[in-house]
Amino acid sequence: MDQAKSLESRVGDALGNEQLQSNFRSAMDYLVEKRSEKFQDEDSLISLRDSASSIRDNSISNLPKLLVKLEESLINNNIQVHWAETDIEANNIIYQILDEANAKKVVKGKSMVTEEIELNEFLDSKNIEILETDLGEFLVQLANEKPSHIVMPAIHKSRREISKVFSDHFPDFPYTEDVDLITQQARKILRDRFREADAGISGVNFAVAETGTLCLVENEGNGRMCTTTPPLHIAVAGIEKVVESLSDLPPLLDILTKSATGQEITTYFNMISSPRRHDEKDGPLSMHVVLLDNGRSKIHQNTEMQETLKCIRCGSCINHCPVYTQLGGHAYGTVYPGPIGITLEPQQKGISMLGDLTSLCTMCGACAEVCPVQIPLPKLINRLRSETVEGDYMKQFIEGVGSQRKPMESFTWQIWKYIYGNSALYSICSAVITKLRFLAPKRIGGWSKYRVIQKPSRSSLKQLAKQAGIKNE
Amino acid sequence: MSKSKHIILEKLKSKIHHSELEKEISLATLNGWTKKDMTQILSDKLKLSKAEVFVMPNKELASWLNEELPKRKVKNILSGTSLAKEISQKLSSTIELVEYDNSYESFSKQLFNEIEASITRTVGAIADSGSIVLKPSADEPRLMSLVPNTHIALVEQSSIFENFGQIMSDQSWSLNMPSNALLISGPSKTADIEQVLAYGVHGPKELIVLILTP
Repeated sequence: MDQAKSLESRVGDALGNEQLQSNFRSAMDYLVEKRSEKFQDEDSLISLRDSASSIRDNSISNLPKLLVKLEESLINNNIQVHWAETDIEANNIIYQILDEANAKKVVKGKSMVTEEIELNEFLDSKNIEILETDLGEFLVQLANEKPSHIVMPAIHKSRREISKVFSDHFPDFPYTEDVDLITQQARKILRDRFREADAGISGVNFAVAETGTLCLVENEGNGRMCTTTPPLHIAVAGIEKVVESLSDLPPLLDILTKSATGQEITTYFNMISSPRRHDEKDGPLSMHVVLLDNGRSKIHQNTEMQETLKCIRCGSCINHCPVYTQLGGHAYGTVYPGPIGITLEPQQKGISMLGDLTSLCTMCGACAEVCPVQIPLPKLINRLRSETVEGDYMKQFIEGVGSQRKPMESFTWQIWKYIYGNSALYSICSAVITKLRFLAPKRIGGWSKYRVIQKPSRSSLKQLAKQAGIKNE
Repeated sequence: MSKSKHIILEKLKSKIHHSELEKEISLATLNGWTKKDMTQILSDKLKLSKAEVFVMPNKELASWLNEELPKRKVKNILSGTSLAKEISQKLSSTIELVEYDNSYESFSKQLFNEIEASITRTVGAIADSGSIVLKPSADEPRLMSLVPNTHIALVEQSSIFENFGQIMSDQSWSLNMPSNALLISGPSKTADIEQVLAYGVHGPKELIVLILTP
């Protein structure tokens, strides 16, 4: 990710890249269509969304209680639990566990939370080899890039680009653009790595407090490999991932897979409740869970924004976002792109740094309409947008509230407000403007770069209405 | 209590002022499907996910294996010890039956490099999502359904349920979770390259489900 460039120039780059745009357009159209095929019946979709939303509401409003219960159940199941307040703390905990086990080779299953803490970069710096094993993540790692979508990480790359990256790294395999062949080559390469790995790292889709069960949703089987073949398994979970009981799982799983990729269900739903038991023959010998806060408890305290935490990371809001579809994931410069990204990231990393992200929204409302857990994303984005330029209350929860305020802009709006609040003044101004319409500038900065400048009309709307004989205009 | 745990929990507790929300889950209603309906729905859905499905009387299992495995050029098959006891006598001598009776560490090389297929039991199946349900055990370890190219799974027709919630509550899962439980709905697959579906990426390339009738 190119944080060094400004958001504006990243957006400019993305909009100028036709290949990228066509990759995203076709991928998003595909995902949108697949999802809608699975939700033909409006009534059952409504009731499923209500259930899923209510389950997540319950999780978030009972978070401390459920986390304590989860920890207790996990410990009972012989899984060690660690709490990390920050990304740095989480990385250090993970490194310490690996170091104590003398683990040098690590395989990882797809996990956005480990992207969030930049675990790969951290372990690289400690000379621990960490290999992404989800096919898309593997290809992105080979290309030394970052995922551009939270569910389909290599969505920005065309088959040709992937073939090139693959053959550059593995010259022993013949060059091919055949997806089946590339997949089989990756299988071959990664199988040895699974077998030789000293540790496996995964994320968590749902953590069940009642039974201490970690659930992973996937299609490829690499998640199962990472959590089964190495002697050590470390799972990293955001604290919001907890759900109360096993009975919460069916609606969540159902709506997650349908919303994410339009699948009835994924190939694997993997429920892990303990490391290898004494009589068992495989599975990790020891297991650890790292519960990560990294700004989540602040979001939890900020009741107006708390719903951000309900997210189950299906990516549906991203797939339906017109801004994301035009820009792709990298232009955002963040781990989570799209509507959920511009809602979550400024709260986590502060408005000074990421406040301008909130402008990447047209307020079209598509995201809220498809969100499986009914997060009112446009409302939250709009709220954050106003916090970027003014606000007081949220200062205690979000860094940089009001920091994007520009004196000239705010002065202009003050005047606007004054004129619009005073009818006599308003009449005078509109009369003056219609008289002086010939003074309208031909160019207004960036605005006129893509738009024709309109002159004010000869008569105001009020006058036109009067002429037309409309009473009480 | 660790320092971070304390800090995180304190922050979270500070905002528990609203009355606790009651969960309103409308559980998927049961359709009252018969076993025959469910067998049909399960096989249709599994086939859509590119699994193969065969329905047969329990006693024909061995002869099916004797006929099908050579056709598929499968020379060896991995089995749990208890199932091996049941079928080894009836299996033709051209098929080598391998038991997963050692720890993974001593078996991994053979498992990854030599074993072609595996056969496991299931604890049931879910009709509405087209899934088979496994609870790997000491007898039938976790990797049996993951590493070999072909996975053959046996589903007793009597253990097909309508939905995921039903199998969990009927079998009282919450009282006794195994170290690992799995829903499997087809062979391993990916669509990470240009959304083109490719099968057999990390797990089995073939999933064969045998639904056994009494």
